[in-house]
Amino acid sequence: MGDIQPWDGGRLAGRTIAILMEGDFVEPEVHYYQRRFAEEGAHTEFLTRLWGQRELTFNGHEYQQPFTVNGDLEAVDEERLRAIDALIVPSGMVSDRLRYSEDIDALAPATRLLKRAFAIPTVLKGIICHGMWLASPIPDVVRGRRVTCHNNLIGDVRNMGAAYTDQDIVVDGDLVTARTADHCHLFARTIIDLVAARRARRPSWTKPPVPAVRRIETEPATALAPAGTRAPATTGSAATGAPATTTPATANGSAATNGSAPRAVTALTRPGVVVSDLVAGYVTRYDADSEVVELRTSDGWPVRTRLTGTVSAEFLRNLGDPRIDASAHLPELLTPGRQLFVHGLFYPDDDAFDAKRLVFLGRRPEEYDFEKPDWWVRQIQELGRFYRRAQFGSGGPIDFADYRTVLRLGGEKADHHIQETDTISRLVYGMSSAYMLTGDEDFLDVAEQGAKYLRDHMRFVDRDEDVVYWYHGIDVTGGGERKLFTSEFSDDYDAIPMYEQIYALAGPTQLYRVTGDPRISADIEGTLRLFQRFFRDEERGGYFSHIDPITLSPHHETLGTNRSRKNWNSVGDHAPAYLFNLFLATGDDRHAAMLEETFDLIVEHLPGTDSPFVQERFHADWSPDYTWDWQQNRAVIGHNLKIAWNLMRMMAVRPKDKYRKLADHIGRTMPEFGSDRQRGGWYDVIERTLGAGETRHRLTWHNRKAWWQQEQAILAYQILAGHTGDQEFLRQAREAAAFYNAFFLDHDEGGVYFNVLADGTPYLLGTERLKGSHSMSMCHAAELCYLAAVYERLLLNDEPLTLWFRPSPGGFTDRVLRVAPDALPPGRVRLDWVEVDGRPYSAFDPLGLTVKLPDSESPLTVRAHLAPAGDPPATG
Amino acid sequence: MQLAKYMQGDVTVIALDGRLDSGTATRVQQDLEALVPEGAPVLLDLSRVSYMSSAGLRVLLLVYRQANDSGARIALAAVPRDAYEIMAATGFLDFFTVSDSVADGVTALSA
Repeated sequence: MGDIQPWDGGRLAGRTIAILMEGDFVEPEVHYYQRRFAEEGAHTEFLTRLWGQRELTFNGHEYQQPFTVNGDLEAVDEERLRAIDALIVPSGMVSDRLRYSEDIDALAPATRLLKRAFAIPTVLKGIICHGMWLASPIPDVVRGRRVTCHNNLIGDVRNMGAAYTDQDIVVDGDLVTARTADHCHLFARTIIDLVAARRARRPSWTKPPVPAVRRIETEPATALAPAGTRAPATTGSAATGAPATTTPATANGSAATNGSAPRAVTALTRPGVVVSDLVAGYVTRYDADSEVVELRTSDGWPVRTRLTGTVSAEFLRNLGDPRIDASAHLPELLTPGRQLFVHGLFYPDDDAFDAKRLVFLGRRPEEYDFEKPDWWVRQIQELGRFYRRAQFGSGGPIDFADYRTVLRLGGEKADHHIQETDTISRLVYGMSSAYMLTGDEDFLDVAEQGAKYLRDHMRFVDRDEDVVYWYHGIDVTGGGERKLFTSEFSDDYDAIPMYEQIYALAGPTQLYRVTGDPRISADIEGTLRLFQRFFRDEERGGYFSHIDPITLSPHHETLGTNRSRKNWNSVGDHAPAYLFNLFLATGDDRHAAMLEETFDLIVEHLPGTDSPFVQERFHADWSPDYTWDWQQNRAVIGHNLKIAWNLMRMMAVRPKDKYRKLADHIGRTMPEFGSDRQRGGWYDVIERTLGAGETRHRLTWHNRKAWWQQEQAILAYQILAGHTGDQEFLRQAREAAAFYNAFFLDHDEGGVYFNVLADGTPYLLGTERLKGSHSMSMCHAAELCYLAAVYERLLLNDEPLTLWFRPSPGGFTDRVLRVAPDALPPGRVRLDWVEVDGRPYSAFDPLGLTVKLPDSESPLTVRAHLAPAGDPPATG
Repeated sequence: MQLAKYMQGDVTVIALDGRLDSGTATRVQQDLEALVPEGAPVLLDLSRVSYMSSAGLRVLLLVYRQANDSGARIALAAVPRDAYEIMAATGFLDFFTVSDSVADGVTALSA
């Protein structure tokens, strides 16, 4: 066969398409690629495993036609791989032959190459027909991603965790899949379009293979975020405009079906379908004779609900509480104004909603059980017990060598031996907070031992630079200890991400509020020096998101897409994760100044005019970065709420009108865009702008609701209501707290669920079953209990609150213990009485909220009784 | 900083000679990445390292992980006294095999 020269004038001139080859290839397919890509100007190279030969000749599947290959796939180094625009795994038996490995414990070289290609988003991956066989030993690369394949492989790709999609061509970010060799023309066309559309490349750094443990509910990301770059969801013309060609292609040919998907229709307009759903509403009318309840949802939609003969009803219950049936009291309970949740069925031939399960939030209208004084305290106690039992057993000694980041749904440990710094830190945060609310010393014991373990095992003291930083974690497989120096999460691999360093401080800082331990303070200050000296952008303000582990530079080329970048976390997450708590403990002006700079930058750079949601990713000069990995031009709803919440906290430290205005603006606009106003609860990741013809912002991955985003909503609206007295904010706070308490508490196993479906049903698949991992580990759930107790009692309900502290002998500068429960408006709270070691104590400042501690050789137990002071705000 | 690689039986020995500090760390790390074999035991001979800063320690950590990921055993030989003290204080010695001489290190890795 003569050489087929690429056409210089084609739109793919200068581009390279690599195609893997082996015996039993499909001749027409391969010949088509040779010509079609050349026609567009692309250079096509064929690669195979050469087994030490200079070249190998393979025979085709149908006609035994010979084809000689001299490209060695084992010789493709990083540079060459990065230069490939698309890597194709073709039809036939090619992938099966290439996945042969003589070492049963090792990946075949071609699989290794494919895996490396998946780590580089700029390399488009094309897999057609039976090609997915090659990826079967590395299912992580397709887990959660939309794919198609030969009908014979549907079970295989589903077992690999991919989302099989019944189409001839499927595009999922940087992965293009096609059904059979008979779709090679559509496949080639899609690849050509995508390669041509991809912008001029930025220098891309090749990530090593994605590790087995993927980031689980990263606050910035989501569990199943595909690692692809932005690409059209499907190329319409290729996917649906093609005739259904049905000739069998390669092995065991079976007919392909036309891949056009059914038109999306809304649940309620879907003809002939019974839809199960949840309605959150307020009773407007109840007619006992017809058993009809009329409800109005948060956004004013009326729902006629019929109580069926099989309806059950219950009251909201806290963790640790039994189920209390309410079925016998329906006539008394269904009074106008009362909020409730109704699970039921919509039938296509009926305009009423058939109720099956009702959840009441309190015994009387406008009574919410989660506003009872002990609700959150009992909840944090149950959370503390769950994690204590899961990690160390009940009652026995606490040994952090037994700590594991991965906990299964019931708290059992999996066969997984990683201890991540940030999950231990989060557990320390939760346990410290649980101690502050309950005074249970077992929780404090866990917190102190966790902080010590972090110090002994996870800390790197850099004596040359006089800074402290924290390992990603350690692997304790087989009783050994292997330090994981840089991040193992795919977003951040081989870098030191600001996010992990910030969260390494979360637990120790909360514990420092309680004990004043100078060793903790020294580590916090050392880590702050790391931030100031290496992450900070002196010129333009803010902090970079990643630094290189060797040079500690944010501008090093190995950082790839994380090079010279800033994001919400690196700039703003200091405040909620540790900085407010540090300031509460120290009262230090330096910490207040860092907070002020943080919020000034947030107000200046994050709000965009193009979207109701803030912009979260930036280049060094603060221009928006719309290209980053999964984030693109997307918003995390909880980050918007988190900003509103923390701006209001800042109003108590160094108030500025612009802080209040932005918080108020977010608080007023977010429900329409980010919440589910007919079922309750808050969504996850959303497109920041509307697409053509859309009137609603599209949800990026799913319409599930994550526990931590509910927390952000509850706290944001509680503090907004507490500051302003605005009834609308109070209503939002209650609706969010109602949804969270009704659907996130795991009454069977303990702890809280990670995600629920839109209708409140727990979503228990994959990593979202887990209870100990990244950010689940008693961080947000405990933070919610602690702060909801503070805001509800002291700001909203005019009730007192007692907090516990345990200052260590050398703790706290000048022996001053600061007991402010949070950054609350000055004058709203006073310190009523103090007990030290069980005796009344008088050396305290009731308005400054400080206690002058007595000298002591041993730790002191301090109880601080705080009460609302001054006039509550006018209601508005 | 000069690097030299030679074989002692099955063990790859890489000898480092000079200062390992923030000025040399990036290059040393790249060189080591290329020199450390996949899946085979490797011994870093530090006897001629005149100075090692924290950046040098970080290089060792990354090399350690690279070796671990490929299933290779890695050991350090003849760690200079100053560096040894820093490594002891920062917990490094817990996870490296450390020997006094190249010969001892080769024996340990060949065992």
